[in-house]
Amino acid sequence: MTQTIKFDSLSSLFNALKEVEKDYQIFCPTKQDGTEVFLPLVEIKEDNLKATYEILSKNEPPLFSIKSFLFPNSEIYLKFKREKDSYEFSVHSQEETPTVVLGGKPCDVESFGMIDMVFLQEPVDTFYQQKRENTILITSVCNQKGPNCLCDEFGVDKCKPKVSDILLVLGEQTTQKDEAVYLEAVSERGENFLEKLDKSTESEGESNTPNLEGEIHQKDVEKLSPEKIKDIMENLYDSPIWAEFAMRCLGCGICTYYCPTCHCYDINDFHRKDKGVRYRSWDSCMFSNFSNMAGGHNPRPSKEDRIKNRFFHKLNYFVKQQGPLACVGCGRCAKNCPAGISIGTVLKKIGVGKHV
Amino acid sequence: MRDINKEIIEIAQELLESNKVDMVLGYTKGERPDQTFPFIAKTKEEAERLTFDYYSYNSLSKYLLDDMYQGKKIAIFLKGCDFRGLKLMIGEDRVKREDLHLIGLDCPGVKRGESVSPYCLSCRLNNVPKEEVDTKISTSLEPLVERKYSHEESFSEINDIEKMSNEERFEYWKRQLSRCKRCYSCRNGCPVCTCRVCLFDRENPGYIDGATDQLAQHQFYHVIRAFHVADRCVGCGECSRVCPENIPLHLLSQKLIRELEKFYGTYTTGVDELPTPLSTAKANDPDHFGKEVK
Repeated sequence: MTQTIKFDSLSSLFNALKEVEKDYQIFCPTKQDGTEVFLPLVEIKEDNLKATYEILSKNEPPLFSIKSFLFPNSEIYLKFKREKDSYEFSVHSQEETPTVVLGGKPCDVESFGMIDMVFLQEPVDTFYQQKRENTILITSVCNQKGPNCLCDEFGVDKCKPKVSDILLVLGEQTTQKDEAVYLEAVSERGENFLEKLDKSTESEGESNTPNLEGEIHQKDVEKLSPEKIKDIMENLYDSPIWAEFAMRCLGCGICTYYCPTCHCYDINDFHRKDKGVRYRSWDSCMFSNFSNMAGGHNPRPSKEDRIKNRFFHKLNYFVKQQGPLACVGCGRCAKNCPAGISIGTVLKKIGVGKHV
Repeated sequence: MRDINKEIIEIAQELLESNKVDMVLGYTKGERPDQTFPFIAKTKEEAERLTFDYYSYNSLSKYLLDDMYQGKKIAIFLKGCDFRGLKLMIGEDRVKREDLHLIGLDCPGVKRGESVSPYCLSCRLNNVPKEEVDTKISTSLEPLVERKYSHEESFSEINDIEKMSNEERFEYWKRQLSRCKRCYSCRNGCPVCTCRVCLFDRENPGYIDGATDQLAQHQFYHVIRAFHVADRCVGCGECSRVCPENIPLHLLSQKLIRELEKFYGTYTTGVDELPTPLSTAKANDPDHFGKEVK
């Protein structure tokens, strides 16, 4: 059985992927107008590869998380229509071609472990489940921490994530220091996919992944204790710090939409004349109408209530319900918040962690 | 030259100690040297953290509209663009002038990465007029932009886009707007997007209408927003700056400013007298739709 295969360059990996393209929908990161995006393989041209390589070799997650591949920002549940006195309902069928997502970072794939705890528990979210089972995650590993990264603190192994099908290691990250790209299967799904790839001409065949080089283990980082943080938060419900954060929060949805672990959604109907759909779409607890009730009551009327709820969910409620802290330390909130509010600034404010 | 931060701290501390204000809204340093964030100082000690530098991007005036600030005595540090936005809010009775202690800055321009922010190149008012504020900061930083405003130059980015064919231009905006995630940071960071309830919160409670084309909805949102702020834009560039997807939203506003000029002449929001061209109607206004009908 294939465990690791070696390609002599990124471009030969892409050629191999192109050969299996008809059986899979493959998405890879690249740049468009200087901004990182995930595009279908067919849209990635030779000149995009430099940007793709840059993104893969960067010890920082790509701009947008890959959660949208398993939990799309908008997804149709069912379709309905009316003809005279008859009504017709049909459940929207899912795409059956397996999806391959290349280029998520360890923090990104670990976040699916958390979303699994919520969506795969009874009652199972079948839309998510089908995508989860039908998607192959090729994770680009890190050998160092980026400027906003807190993976070590949140217990994410940046070199060997638990949730993944295939690990992608660049030669430059290893002791070999070459341009090669190694794919290492870490699940059955991953092994099957690699076997298919291996049959393509571009691969250099079976190999072993050379050892990673860099800050692979950070000994001075103290892993955050979910229990301890949960208890600290318990005493902070009435703390003035939430009002302080709220006073500079813009109330936009950046932190929630860019967060790989945030998974709130809303269900709506859209109809015109005699037909329509029921769909779900992402929602953000930072929006003022997030918890608005029919009749006009809003249990979280102020920005202070909303920001408090967001961090209590991450650092207290999720621990109580599922065990871990609802954060993988990807640092996207720190990178993108226009007002400088992030999981790191909150942890610092509540007096946790010496390096955050 | 005196240290600008020293002067800022002294002014803030004096205002807080004499109980003239409840809080001072300014900037403080973030974790990294290239990060400066909004900051609220309520005590003399907190005021020591106030600063102003090339990374002080945010439009602070926008915060004043939030319930948390209403009814309080607030001192606020203002760059030129921010001051222009605030003048609109005061003129439209969204904030009370008597609740505010305005502290004017002589803005040197802000940086984006290592170079000067592109929005500052078309700045119409970097130095807040002394007579319109309660305190004027006397020290200033080395300016990043030459202080000679050229009307034509400020539209150079628009010129490039206008050179494209219709198809190219449509493709350009399709590509840019397809990256939109509808986080609404462009709206929430904008100092002149001041509706109490936004159209997009009221009419479109969901993220997007799942059934229809998402791109079309993003185009719809951005075009509507650009029209709503067409005669109000103060050119601070916050819409583009806060956008994580780097969508050049300020270009939509600049284009509309230039189009409006053709009908109403040059109008500089927050510098010229209110009302803004589109919030008023005169009998002799150009009526192109009327002509078309005939």
